[in-house]
Amino acid sequence: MVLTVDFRSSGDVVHWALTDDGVARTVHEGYTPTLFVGDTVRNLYGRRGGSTPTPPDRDGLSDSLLELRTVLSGQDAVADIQCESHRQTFRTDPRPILRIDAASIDAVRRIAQRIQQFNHPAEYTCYNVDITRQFRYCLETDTSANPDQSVRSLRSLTLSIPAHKSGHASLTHLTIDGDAAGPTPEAAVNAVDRSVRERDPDVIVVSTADLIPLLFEAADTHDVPHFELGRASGYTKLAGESTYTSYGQVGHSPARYTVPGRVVIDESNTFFYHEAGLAGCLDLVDRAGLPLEELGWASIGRVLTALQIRAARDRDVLVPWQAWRPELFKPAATLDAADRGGTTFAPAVGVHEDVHELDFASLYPNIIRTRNISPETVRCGCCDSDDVPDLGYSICETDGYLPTVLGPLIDARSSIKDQIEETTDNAERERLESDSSAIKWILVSCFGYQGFSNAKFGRIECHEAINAFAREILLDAKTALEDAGWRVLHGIVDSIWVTPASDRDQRSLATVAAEVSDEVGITLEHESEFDWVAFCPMRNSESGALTRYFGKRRHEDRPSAGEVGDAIKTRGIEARQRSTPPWVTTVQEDALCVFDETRSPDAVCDVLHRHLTALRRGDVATDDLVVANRVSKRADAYTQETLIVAALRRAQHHGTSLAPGQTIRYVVVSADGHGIDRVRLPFEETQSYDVDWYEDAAIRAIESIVSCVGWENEDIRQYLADTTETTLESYLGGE
Amino acid sequence: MNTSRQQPRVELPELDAGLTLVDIDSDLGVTPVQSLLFDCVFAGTGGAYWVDAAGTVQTTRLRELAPDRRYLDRIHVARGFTAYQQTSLLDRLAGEHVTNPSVVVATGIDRLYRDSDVSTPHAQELLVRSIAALARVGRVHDVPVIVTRSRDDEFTEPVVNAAKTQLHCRDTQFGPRFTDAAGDVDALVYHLADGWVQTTLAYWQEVLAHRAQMHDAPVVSEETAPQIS
Ligand SMILES: [Zn+2]
Repeated sequence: MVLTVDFRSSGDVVHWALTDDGVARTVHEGYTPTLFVGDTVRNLYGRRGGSTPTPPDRDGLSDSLLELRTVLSGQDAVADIQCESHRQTFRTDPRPILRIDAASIDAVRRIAQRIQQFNHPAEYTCYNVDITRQFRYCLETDTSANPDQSVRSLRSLTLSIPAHKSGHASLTHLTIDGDAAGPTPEAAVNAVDRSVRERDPDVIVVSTADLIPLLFEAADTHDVPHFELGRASGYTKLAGESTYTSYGQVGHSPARYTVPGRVVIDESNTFFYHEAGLAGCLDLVDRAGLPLEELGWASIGRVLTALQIRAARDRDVLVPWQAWRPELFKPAATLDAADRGGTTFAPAVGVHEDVHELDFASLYPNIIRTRNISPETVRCGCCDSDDVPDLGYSICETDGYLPTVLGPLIDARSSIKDQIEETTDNAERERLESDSSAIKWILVSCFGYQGFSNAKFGRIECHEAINAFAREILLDAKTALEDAGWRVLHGIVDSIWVTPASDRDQRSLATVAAEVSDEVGITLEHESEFDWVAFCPMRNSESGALTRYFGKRRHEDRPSAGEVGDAIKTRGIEARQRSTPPWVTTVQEDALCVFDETRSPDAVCDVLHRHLTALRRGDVATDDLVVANRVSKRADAYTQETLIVAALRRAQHHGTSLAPGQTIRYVVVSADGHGIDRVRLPFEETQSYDVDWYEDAAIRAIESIVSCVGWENEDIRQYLADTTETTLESYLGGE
Repeated sequence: MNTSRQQPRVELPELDAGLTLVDIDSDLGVTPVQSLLFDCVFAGTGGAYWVDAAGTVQTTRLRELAPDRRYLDRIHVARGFTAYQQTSLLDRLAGEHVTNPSVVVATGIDRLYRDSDVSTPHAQELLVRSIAALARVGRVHDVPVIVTRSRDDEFTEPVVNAAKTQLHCRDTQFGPRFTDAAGDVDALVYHLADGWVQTTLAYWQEVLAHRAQMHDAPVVSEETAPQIS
């Protein structure tokens, strides 16, 4: 049971655990992390590769590994070298390879790089090299990563400065758990020092990790004696700032810092803390075995990898450093079938009455589980069966490891869902929802992760197999529903929308869904009932956009005039997008309410007219006009002078530079103007805005709604031009 | 489709066994390579093995080009997504599972080695190792090995040195033309009387249908396949 683990430059490791009244500190002297080295990849995936990769048995080490052992023995970075037998992949038997104990945590990568340069290229394969340090310590010393809150609950402290502030002066804006720390940097540092001593937190949440060096520097400048954030002296920089590309998206990862004996969570660099809060994070620490501080900054993929690494260790399989495993050769005809992706039935554009949405629960994870899909089971080589539809891949009879990793998560999520239904306690519900949310993200990502080339245990063939099953399942469900008298309006990935087919009797949806669930082995749930659903066309086209629709849920009343609440479900339209200014969202939601009541594009345009009148009068608060865009590259890397660039430059002008992956917020004051004067940043508290630009944005938002009844942008503009007064209908609907 | 009265002349370079580096004008895409691949398959009895590191295995285009769908069962593809996967794949080409190939193709051989997670000296070594593996496959099976690269620079110099032939496929006003520096190869793919060509899908479909006929290889007339006069 561990709260956190410190790695000291001496090589010692300090392990902190909770006690009734504080923490217990244990020093682990001479901790030597372990990596492994096997022979050239050819033995596993190469010449003898193909379907049966097991290399021939051998007794001791190969000549080339013996040579490596001689070279490494006696090097400072190496504490010990042994010959041990382990499995290098899920599909091979244990065989003798080199086990190297490194002198310190930093020596691990150094040794691996040295091995890579020694002998011929690709002569060796390294294992257990890039495992994060606290996680590695827990694995290698058999320590639970769970802080064990049965001893006592964790204490946390939150330190924040506003996002656009930096430098010593920003400390005057510092808050401690929401309260202002002090009017001067010196007072703020003293207040932090006092709070940390009094509260003795286990977790320090910072709005940005840069606060840590900043506070220490300020303490130094202002001679605050014995200033500490940790339970021992100083702080450590774990990683520098960097920019990376993942799944085609540019991300920014800020520098990481930690302090001894406490967990640091950086609010500007955490996914799970945002999604699930501290409670949800701790739940996930327990499931994934990744220590809290590392879970704090981990991506979804990293948590999924941690789960898989644990499963691999249970089977004595090592963790490959580099992604060596290639796909097997396949006929172009098979690749052609595999490349078709998920099945979609293009939506029937327009408004439909009496619509039902049915969803397969956690479709992809359940396909993995029920079809035994795992990197070592698909095209296993030992079974000669035709299991995957369209592709003809075999799936092994032996249980795969991936289903055993995902199974408990699928079960946990559905049991949490049941508990949420049952509970009447709000705090309890909130906690359950955070747990559920953390698990949900892992389940929804496991499919994409299989196709991700650098995934530790990913495999493209798994990705293809999952897709092929999903396609078959959706098509079978469509057929069953049509046979039962339903018309399928739209289908995508795991969801199907149906309406009663005219001139036919319908069998009950519950019955058909139960039959399909039985047949497929995955529950088809009757997700929602709608009074009506509108599927939008793609912009400038008549065919349906796959993920743009809105509809009125049956038996759900709107909370009050102008509010959408849960009564109207929307997808893919402006109100759902994070970048949309609140005012545009309001216009669109008002329009949706009126559309629900009237189904009339005229009435919807009247709503627009009313809002535009207010806009032109200057009655809209600039806070409601803030655009929020994700930054995809540095300001000087953009080739076009977009508003985002203007905003980034303006932020730079004010001394803040935003990195790719962060969000820039701005108000458009003069879209056609020049340079940084086209926009204002929120803290500048501007009173003016660019009426035409916001008008265009509002018209586009309205177009999204009325396009489903065939109105285009020009029709809206024409209507506005013709309208001099708002109609009575709109007054009734909107006010 | 073919309106000329005479049997048109359709040329693709005859590839010798061993490494041929093909540089292609970027406007032409990967289609010239796919056409060379098909041409070797028509002429031989075995299949093609294609290792792609350039993200250019477009089965849609392959399917459209094939004069008969059944050719798609004779073209074996595998894609490398990391430098290490590519290295493993090229090893596998030399393995016992590759039998009786008519041609081996490696597209974008340098691309993944340029990735930032591979150090430069190591990348250079891995590239050389890959070229050696390809040359070996060509030797063992005595078949042509077609290689393309993503960039012509110092890094890919070893590919030029190892290649027996270096072809350039240019987009000329008379259509795509293969040439080599030595002047041994000069093939204008399709001579049309009026000098007006389209380097479109239909163009290449017609080229391949003619080549298949020349080699007495099967051609079916589906509604999508070109009609031969
Ligand atoms: Zn099997």
